[in-house]
Parts: sequence; C-alpha cells; structure tokens
Amino acid sequence: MSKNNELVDDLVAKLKRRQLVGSSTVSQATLKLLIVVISKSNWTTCNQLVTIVKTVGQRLVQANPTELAVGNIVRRVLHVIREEFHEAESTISHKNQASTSEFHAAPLTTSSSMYNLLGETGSTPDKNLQFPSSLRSNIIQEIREIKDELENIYDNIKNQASLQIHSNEIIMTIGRSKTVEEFLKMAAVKRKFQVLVAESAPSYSGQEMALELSKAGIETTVIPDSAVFAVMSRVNKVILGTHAVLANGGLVAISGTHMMAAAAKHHSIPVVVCTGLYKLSPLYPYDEDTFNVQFNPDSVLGFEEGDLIDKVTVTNPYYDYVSPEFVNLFITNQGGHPPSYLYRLIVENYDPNDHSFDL
Amino acid sequence: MAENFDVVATYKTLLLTSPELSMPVAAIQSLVELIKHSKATTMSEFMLSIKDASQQLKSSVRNSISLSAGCDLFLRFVTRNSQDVADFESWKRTLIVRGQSFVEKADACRYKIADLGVPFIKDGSVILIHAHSRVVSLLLQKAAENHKRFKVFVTESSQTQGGIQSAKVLRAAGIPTTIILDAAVGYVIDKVDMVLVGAEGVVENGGLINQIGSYQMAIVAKATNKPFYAVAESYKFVRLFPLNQYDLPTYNADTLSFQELNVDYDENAPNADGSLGTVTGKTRSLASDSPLTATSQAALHMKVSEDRASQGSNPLVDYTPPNYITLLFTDLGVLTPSGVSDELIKLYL
Amino acid sequence: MPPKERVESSEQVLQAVILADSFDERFQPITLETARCLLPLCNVPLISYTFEFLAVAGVQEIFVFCCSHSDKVKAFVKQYGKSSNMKIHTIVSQECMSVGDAMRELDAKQLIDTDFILVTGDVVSNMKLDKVLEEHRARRQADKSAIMTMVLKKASPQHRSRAVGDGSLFVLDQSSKECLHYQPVKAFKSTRQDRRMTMGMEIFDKHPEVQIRNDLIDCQVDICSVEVPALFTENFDYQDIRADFVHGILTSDLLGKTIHFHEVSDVYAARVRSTQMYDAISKDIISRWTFPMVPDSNLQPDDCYEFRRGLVYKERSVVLSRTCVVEEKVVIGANTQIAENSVLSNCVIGKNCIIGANVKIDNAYIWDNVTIKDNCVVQHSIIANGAVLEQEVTISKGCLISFNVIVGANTTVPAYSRLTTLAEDEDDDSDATLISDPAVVGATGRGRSFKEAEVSDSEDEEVDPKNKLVNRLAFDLSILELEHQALNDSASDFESEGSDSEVDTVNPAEELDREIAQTLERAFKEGHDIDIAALELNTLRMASNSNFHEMRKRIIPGVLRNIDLTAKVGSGNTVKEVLARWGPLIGKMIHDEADQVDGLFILQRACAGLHGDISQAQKLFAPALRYFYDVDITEEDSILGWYHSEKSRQGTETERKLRDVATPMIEFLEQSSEDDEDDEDDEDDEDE
Repeated sequence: MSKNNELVDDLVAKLKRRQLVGSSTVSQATLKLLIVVISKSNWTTCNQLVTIVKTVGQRLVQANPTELAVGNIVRRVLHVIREEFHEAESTISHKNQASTSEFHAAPLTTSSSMYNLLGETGSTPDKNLQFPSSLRSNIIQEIREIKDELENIYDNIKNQASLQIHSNEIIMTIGRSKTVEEFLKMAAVKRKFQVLVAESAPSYSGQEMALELSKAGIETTVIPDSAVFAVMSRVNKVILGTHAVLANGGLVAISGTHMMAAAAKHHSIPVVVCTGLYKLSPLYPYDEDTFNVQFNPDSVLGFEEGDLIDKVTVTNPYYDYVSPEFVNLFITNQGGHPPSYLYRLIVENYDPNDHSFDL
Repeated sequence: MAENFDVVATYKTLLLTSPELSMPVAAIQSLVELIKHSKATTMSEFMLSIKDASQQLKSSVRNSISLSAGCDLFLRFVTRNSQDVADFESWKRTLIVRGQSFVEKADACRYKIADLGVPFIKDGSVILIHAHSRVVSLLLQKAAENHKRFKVFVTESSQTQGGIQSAKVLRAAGIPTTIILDAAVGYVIDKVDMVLVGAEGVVENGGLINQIGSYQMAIVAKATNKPFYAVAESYKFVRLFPLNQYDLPTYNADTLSFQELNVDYDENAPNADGSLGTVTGKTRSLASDSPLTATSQAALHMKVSEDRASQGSNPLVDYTPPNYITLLFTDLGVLTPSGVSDELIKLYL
Repeated sequence: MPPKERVESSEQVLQAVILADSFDERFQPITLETARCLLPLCNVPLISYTFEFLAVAGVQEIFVFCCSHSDKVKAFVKQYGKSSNMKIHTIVSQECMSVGDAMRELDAKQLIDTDFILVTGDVVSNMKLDKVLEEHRARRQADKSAIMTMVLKKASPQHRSRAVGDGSLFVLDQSSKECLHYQPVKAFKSTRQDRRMTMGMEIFDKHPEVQIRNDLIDCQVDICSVEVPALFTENFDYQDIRADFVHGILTSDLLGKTIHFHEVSDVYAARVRSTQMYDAISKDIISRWTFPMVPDSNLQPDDCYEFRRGLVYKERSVVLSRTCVVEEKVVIGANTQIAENSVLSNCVIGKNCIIGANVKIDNAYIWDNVTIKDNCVVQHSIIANGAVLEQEVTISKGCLISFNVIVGANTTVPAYSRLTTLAEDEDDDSDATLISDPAVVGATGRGRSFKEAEVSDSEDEEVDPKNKLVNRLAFDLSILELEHQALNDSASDFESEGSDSEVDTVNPAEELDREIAQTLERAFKEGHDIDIAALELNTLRMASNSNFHEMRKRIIPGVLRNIDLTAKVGSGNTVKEVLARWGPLIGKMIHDEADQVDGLFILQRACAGLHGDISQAQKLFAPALRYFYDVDITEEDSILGWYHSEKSRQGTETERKLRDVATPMIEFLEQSSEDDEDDEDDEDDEDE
C-alpha cells in the first residue's frame, strides 16, 4: 500500500509542478498508475475498490484541476469497474435463483435515476458475494483496452478525414494539435487543399504546426491572430483541436480559439472539432475562468522591462472557453456528433455517481 | 367501489399544512393515502380507482402541470410493477412504503439541486430571478451560506405577488434583493450576470413550463447573451411536447380571448366591488402632466385585475423552448436541454 | 512505474547543498525568534521554494546547512521529507559565521563526492537546470579547472527585483562563457574605490573580447565542482562566496582555476536577500512571473488556493464580508475573516487572521494568526505571526513587527520601526523580562523598539550606513538622494582626516589642468613628436569629456610658458624656437574659423597673463601672432575678425595694449587684401 502511495505522490508532484502536461501524456500516466493501484491493493467488494480509486482520483485532480483528462480517465476506469461488478453479480444471481420476497423491478437496460426515486435506493448495497478470481484480471483487461484505445486514438479520427475535407478547400486552424495534424495529413493523401494557421501568440505554437504540415506537403500559410476575422470569409471550414470538451459541448482550447469560432459563426462557416473521447469531461463550466490557467507573463512583456512591470499588470491566459453554440461538429474516435449529443456519450462512458470524487 | 375518501380534500389539506410541500409531491402523497384507504380487491379495480383519483386531482386545480407530472409518474410506477404480483395485499403495502419514502426523498431533492447549483454562482455576481420558487430560494440561501457575495433582482409577478415573497425569504438570509417591475426585465438585464428560474414542468424536448413571464425573460437573456438556468426536480418531467404556447393543457378557448361587444362593458357602471372609477378616464387627458393620485392608481390597478380575474382569460404559465435554456439543474445532475428527453425515455420505455 | 533506484554510481545521484543560514542580520528582529529560511513568502516557507526548485532539477539528495534556530529547521525538513522522494539531511553547525565556514565544515565532513548545486535557503526560481548541468559537466570533462558555473539572470538596472544594495559588476567572456572578474557594487559609493573597478590587464591576453555587465541579477545558484569546498579549506580567510571566493579565484594566478557563468533570460530566479527583495519577490510571485511556483499551484499539501481575476488568490475557507473590497494582487490564507468595508490591495495575508472593519491594508505582508482590529491602517510593512493591532492603529511604511507584538489602541508606529517582544539582553541574560516601550507600542501595547547591534570596528572597510539602509523594506531612495549631496562633502572630510586616499572630491577642471600640465611637461622633457603629444592630448580631451576650447585654454599658455624671453638663441627656449618646435601642437587644437578667433583671444589673454608688463607681453604676443599667420594656424579673416571684435578691446590694460600691438599687422593685411581684390578685378576684367 505504501508503495502505491509513493507512486501516487510522485504523480501528484509531477502534476503540480507541471512536469506532466498535455491531455494525452497525462491520461497515459494516470492509466498506468491506476493499473498498478488496482492490481496491487486489497479489495473484495465494489464499493471498496471504488473508494480506493476515488481517493486516488481526488488527489490527482486536486493536483492540477485544469488537466481535465486526469479526471476523465479515472471516471472511465470507475465505470469499467462498476460494469464488471454488475456483470459478475448478475451471473452469480442467475446461478442462484433464490426467490425473494421482494419483487424484482422490471429489467432496465440502464437504471433510470428517476425510477430510482420510487424504486430501490440509488447506491447498491455491498453484497458479500463470492466473486470469481477472474474479476480482478477482467477489470485490468478492460483498463488495458482503454489504454490501447488511447494509444490508437488518432487512427479512428484520421479515417474520417477524407469525408470531411474536399478538394480545393481552404481550411483554417489555430495552434498546435496533434489530432488535427494527423487528421489533415491523412486528408492530404487523397485530397489537395490549403491550410491557414493562426500563429497563436505568445506561444507561437501555430508556427510549429505550420512547419509540420508543410513537411507533409500541405500548402500552408501562417497568419497573425489579428488577421483571423479578415481572412475568414475566404475559408471553407474551421478545424480545431481542443484541450478539453465540457459536458455542455463547450471547449477549453488554446487562447484565440473563441475568436476564431466567433468569426466563423459570423460568416456561417462550419466549425469542426477533432478530439479523442478521453478529453470529454462531465463537468460544466461555471464561468469562463474555471478551467483556465494564467501562465508566466514573460512572453507577453519581458521581465527585464523593470519600469513597466511595476505599473502594469500583465496576464497570459493559456486557454479560452468556447460556448457550444459556436461548434457544429465533434469528430471523435467514436464517430461524428453534434454538441447536443455529448450528454449521451457522457452517460455511456461515465457513471453519474462519479462526476465528483467526493466520498 | 366508491369510497368516502376524498382525494382532492386530502390534497388540499396537505398543501395547507405543509407549505414547503410542492404540488406533485402532495399529489403523490394523497394517492398513497388513497391506497391506504383503498378497499379494492382486484388489480383492475385498484388501477381504475387510482386513475380516477388522478383525474380528479388534475381537474381540481387550475394550474395542473406539475400536479399532472407527479400523478403520471406515480401511475407509471404502479403500472410497471403490476406485472407479476403474487400477493395483492403485500404488494399494496410495499407500494405504500415506497410512496412514503419517495415523499421523504423528494424533499432531499431540493438540497441536492442546491448543491449542484451553488458553484455556478460567482462571487460578486448579480442574479435575476422570477417570482417565487422554493428551489431557487433554497439554492440562493445555500450560496449565501457558502459565503458567496451576490445581489438579486426579482420580478414582482404582480399576479401572484411571488416576487414579494421571494424578497422576504432572501432578505432574511442576508442577500440584498430588489423587486423590479415585470416590465423592467429588459431594462435591468444589462446589470445582470445570469437568470435563474424555477419550473412547473419540464417537457420532453427540454423546454420549460413556468410562471407567466419566464418566456419573456428567456428571450431577453438570449438576446443579451446572459446564461438562463432553470431549476427543476426530476418528478416535474412531463410527457408533453408543445409546439407553441397554445399547446399546453392549461390553454383553453377563453385564454386571452377578446370580449364580444354586446357584453356589458359600461364604463360608468360601478365595478364589481362597488368602487367607482374608470379605466380610460374622461377625467384626465393624455396630455395632462398630473400624475395619477394614489387612490386613482389603486382604483386603476384593481379595475384591471378585477377585469382579468373575472374573465379568467390571462394565462398562469408559459412555455420556454429549449434553445433559450442554457442548463437545467436537476437532482439527476446538471443537464443540457437535450439530455432531458433521454431521462424521460428511460422511464417510459 | 519502477520505484526510485538507489544508484551506486556517484555520477548519477545529483546532490545539492542548501545554505539555510544567511549569515546576516537583515531580517532582525524577526530572525531572532526563527530561522530566515522558514519565513513565509506568499504564505509558503522560503525553503520550500528552494526544495521545489531542486526537485524540478532532479536533485536526489540534499544537505541543508543550518546554524541559527537549527531545531526549527530540522523539524520542518523532517516534515517536508515525508511527502517528498528526495533524501534531505540536515547538518547543524553552531559556530559558523559565514558561507566560508559552512563550506569548510562541508569539506571536513566529506559528504560531497560529485558536482553539486549550491544554493541558499531563500532562492525562488522556476528555472530548469538541465541545460546548465549539461554544460557544466561537459566543461568539466574537457577541462578540470572549470570549478564553478554561476547562474545569472538578465534584468534592466532599475528593475525592482534587483537587490538595491547588493549590486554586482561582472566581466564576462561570451565565447567561452567564462567570468573574468567580479566586483561588488554598493548603492552608495563613498570611497573612491567604490566607484572604480580595477582589473588586471593580463586578462586581455587570453580574452580579446569581454563584456562588462551591470545588468545581471545574481541569484547565487551555483553548480560547484567537488573541489570547491577544498578550496575554501585551503584559503581560510574566504568568507563570502562572491566577494571573497570568486574574486579571489579570479585574481589569483597560482590556482589557475576558472569560473564560468550561464546567463538565463526568460526564466525567473532571485534570492530573498533583504526585506526590500522580500517585497519585490512577493510581488513577482503574485504577478505570476514565477509560474508555476504560484500560490494557486498549491505546492504545499494542505493549501487550496483559487485564482481570481485581478490576481487575487483566496483559499476556499476565507470569509469575506459583503462590503469589503479586495482590490488586486492579494493573497488570503485559509480561515481568515475580513470584516465590513475593509480595503485590501497588494498584500499577502496568512492563515487564521482576523481583520476588523474599515481596515486599510496596502503593500503589506501579514503572516498567520494576526488580529487587526477596526479602523487600522497598515502600509508597506511586515507583521509577523500572532501580532495584535488594537483599534485605530497606524503602521507606517517600512516597519517590521515581530512575533506576538501587541500594539495598543490609537498608536501610530513610526516609519521604519522594528518592534519585538524579546527582552533586551545586554548581559546575555536569558531571564531578562520585556520592558514595553509605550512610545512605540502605546500604553496597552507589548513590545519594544529593536536596535541593531553596533557594527564592530574590526571591519577594515568602512561600511557606509546608507548601504545597510538601502536594503530595507520600502526604502525610498529619493529621500536619501537629497541628503547624499550634503553628506558627500562631509564624507570627503571624514576621508581626508584619517585615510591615505587621495583627494577625491576633485574639481574636474583642476584635474584637467593638472593632467594637461603633466602631459605637456612630459612632452617637453622627453622631446616627443608633435603627433604623439597631440594624440595624448586628444585622448585626455576625450577622457575628460571636454572640448577643444578647454584644451586650447591650457595648451596655449602651457606652450608659451616654455618661452624664456631672456634666453639666447640656440638654447631652445627663445620665442622663435619654442614656437617652431611646439607651435604645430597648438595648430592641432585649432580647426575652423571660430576656433582660430578663439585661439587668438586665448593668446591675447595668455600673454597678458604671463607677463603683466606690456613691454614683455608684446615680445611674446607679436611673434606668436606673426607665427600663427605664417604657418596658417590663423588665417587673415580670423585675425581681422579678432581684431575688429568687441572682445579684443576689453580686458585688462595689458590685453588692450596687446591689441594695439597688432595694429600694424592688421593694416598690412587690409592693404594686401585690397591689392588682392584689385588684382582679382583686373584678372576678371582680363578674362572677360
């Protein structure tokens, strides 16, 4: 147990110090940790295991609340755990068909919580059933499948590329997103199109993106962020990457994305967001600042400007919040969906009891 | 078998004795009481009596949307569980137990919703609420307890004077509250950070049925890009799909109808309460600057409300389409309007 | 993930040494009760920042060196070590008085076996050291004499995060990244030495191109090789690491060691060396220059700060009243309560504080468990744990209120006061009881004003008291600037009494006189070439930033002085001989017409000045004037201009008479110019 604690401490420290940043790196590290924690800790009932995982999840999420991918992965794992236990329970209860005095509720595919108001209590009581020993390995197996899914996330998204992009189109994007990069590179195999990349100051990640795209033979132009609105009328589609997707369909994306999406809406240009499902979070945006981080203002106004920094407050917000009404389509590894459909994906992948890690 | 159990009377008594009880919960409790007193011996008799009682309740109240929701929910629950019943009596007993526990849990719903909604209230924000909703008041009280500092505008909703009730409750909790005229929503919206309303019912497409004036507020909020949040307990979800305002069950031919000219509408006739005073005063011209005196203002007011009430032609609720609603706070969690239908389908499958 | 391996090879375990004692008294009286490195900076103990910095750098083993209040430091380190996977050892040494002593102790204990990072316990930095470490190691591989790499950060000279009193001058070679010379720079320079940098010329043999830099913040983060502690042991008089060690190594030829530097410009690094720096660095942290070491990263395990717009950091359990105003750049710790109508701006407030109504706090640092009652005003001060300010108290700027001081109601604490509850122990009597001073803390207060111990006379260099003051919190340099002028003279009096330094408050004009006189004398004596002499004089002109007029004023009389009217021809001192030999020198000082006219004025005055009697003066003047005309030093027009000007008619009688002496020449010139004109006209006529 203490070894587990050490590992958790280590990951917590790395998250706090921002030595691990970026949705996919963070997700992979969390998954690795959870596999170790689950396989090495003692548990017999569902609730026990859920508590263990939730405690770990709580610590990781608090270490860096803006890395939403951490929480998402923990919730996926909890969902898997609950499913496996449920399956195991139903196989056991099928075997022992003891009649009980209680009447059974009509079988539902998914438990409706509204029904639970009148029906049984929400939390399943901890039954001391004799679970098969394969349960542990089943759970680990499922989690490894999530890991595989994560590693191959780009493939499923890429394959939708040629459906979305047509020849001689002008695509606009902002910043550096690996997902969008793979998407466009795949499309470039079959189609010929141009890309405009907004440079996204002050990190200038857009410039790196342009470099990568041009290496793949795509005709790319870098534009300053201020030119986005001016050029928008010539664009056919806007394709964006994002840091996280919130439950209402809103995006937490690199600073400058909101401006691009608003310009696109003004010109009635479709906005497509390419994202893996691990970035989908069941949390809602309480306000624009909730999931934002203010970085070091040095890249905006150098620290050497001694006179100015005393008199001027310089901020460098890293992310933007984009409302769901600016987004037309999400392209995920499970296909394309409009923002209004996200609630379904959330219900399918996360359990409502896991939205918050408070025990 | 007719019995002497008056479900409507029970319902009304319940509402009087526990003012915190909401209508659907009171309805379900009355139905549970009915089951207790039921002398039915067969399943079909029993189901019939419940359906009957349900109908009675619905027709007894003028604004019956939330009531209908509660009744329908209970009915559905009973119907589902009537499939394979071994022992009728024990089944009845279980129903009673379940019903009671529901009533208890229903109260807890509100606290759950309040917990969900509190993080959405930013420190230093200004909130606009509509009339009086117990859930909304609870949410705001909880936020104040969490040391959030905010101010509230509440619409007067002159018909029910709900605004004044809200203001009393909120001021008691230390929240600075100002009552505004219903007509001043557009005026005040730029000072406001968010709009928060309760619900009588939530319809299938995620739209909202709430006290008259909510739709207006939603339109104004959308036009000025302010978030519009609705708060509803899950037992208020109804199986309705209105296409416009007049699709609601509360609408009848008389609502907002024009009077025929041969109906007595003598200006000089005394009012129903015996006072004198005309609406379109010959006593003052439009050009005059003299403000209405207090008495004539009161007379004016009374005349209009008299007018409306007696005609019964003004609606009590309106329908807000889902595209005006940003989020719904329910005990099932925070939902987008599109998520509501999913929950409903799960129940009625 | 495999657990941390205990690597045997000494190359891989990165070690660091933290000097947790600052060996100075800048934070007294607060540091009389606790260690400097445990003081909270934005509610996080200073040494935590250092630990974080080292953790990010990948350090695996840390030695914390502490002297004063070592028990407290030990306890903190133990607590911290529980949640960290670095091995942290504390080394306690009671007798160390300086960095040098600490290093010698370190060497004696033989704990270091590899290159290590040497930092102080109060460094705040978000720098990643990988590149620096790589460079250092590569250098060491190539050259074993590279013993240290200093990390320096670029910042403009007036930057608020520069330690005002502890400036440094670095002489660097950018190509080899070597530091060639180091000199500490004081804020108030009272001796001549303070204003000058002396550097050996042999440096230029190996380094043709150097940079002399005053725009660097020295964060005192050094990567030291394993030989450094040994060097300290060898030279037992090394106390300070920069002023003694670096300076010593660089100026000693015997050792042959080199010190390198690494300049960083887009990361943050600074040391909390004084209360002024404490103020500046707190502000930097709040403005997020030190990201990710900011309050809302919650680096301490129990913190839960949230960030709000306007650079406000609040823990979740803070209770703010409805009417209180939190302006901007504020940090508020857990469970603190702020009552009605209070205004906070630019401040840091610790945990469990109770702030009353109508309190104004601006630019202040209030630590944990402090109670401030209604209507107080706190400006630009530090208030330590447990202090209580009763009602209507005003704390003026620059105050340091130490632990548990109680300031009674309606008191105004004067600016720059330092209050403490520790009793005065003149006889080292630990049982001494506190005698509160009502003048400072009010009638009901508890505390006395703290005075520093007098600086002992064993210091051989004079410590200007202003240099100590300059490090203080909220110290306003502009106040002292005005006083400085007055003090300047007194300083020079003081100097001349006892010391052997030259007269340094010298009039630049007199100095120039002297210099030129010396140069000329040398030239005359050694018979220099005109060109060489002219070169020297030009250099002097440029060095003293003067112009040709000034030069002429001195050179012309200087040359003329050599003339001995009674000398015989052939001695070299007659008018003609001197003029012939040195006249061209004067010529080099005269260029255009204005210069020429000016030169003539000077000549006039000079001759009159040298010989008061007109008969003598004219013997000098007339030939000189003739000579100037002959060799075209002055042209016709200039001479005429001079003659006809008003200025030449003024002056002493001798000067006026000298003008008259020139009259025949003027007539001759005018005559000949007419002839010339006639000739020209004729020529023109002929051409036509």
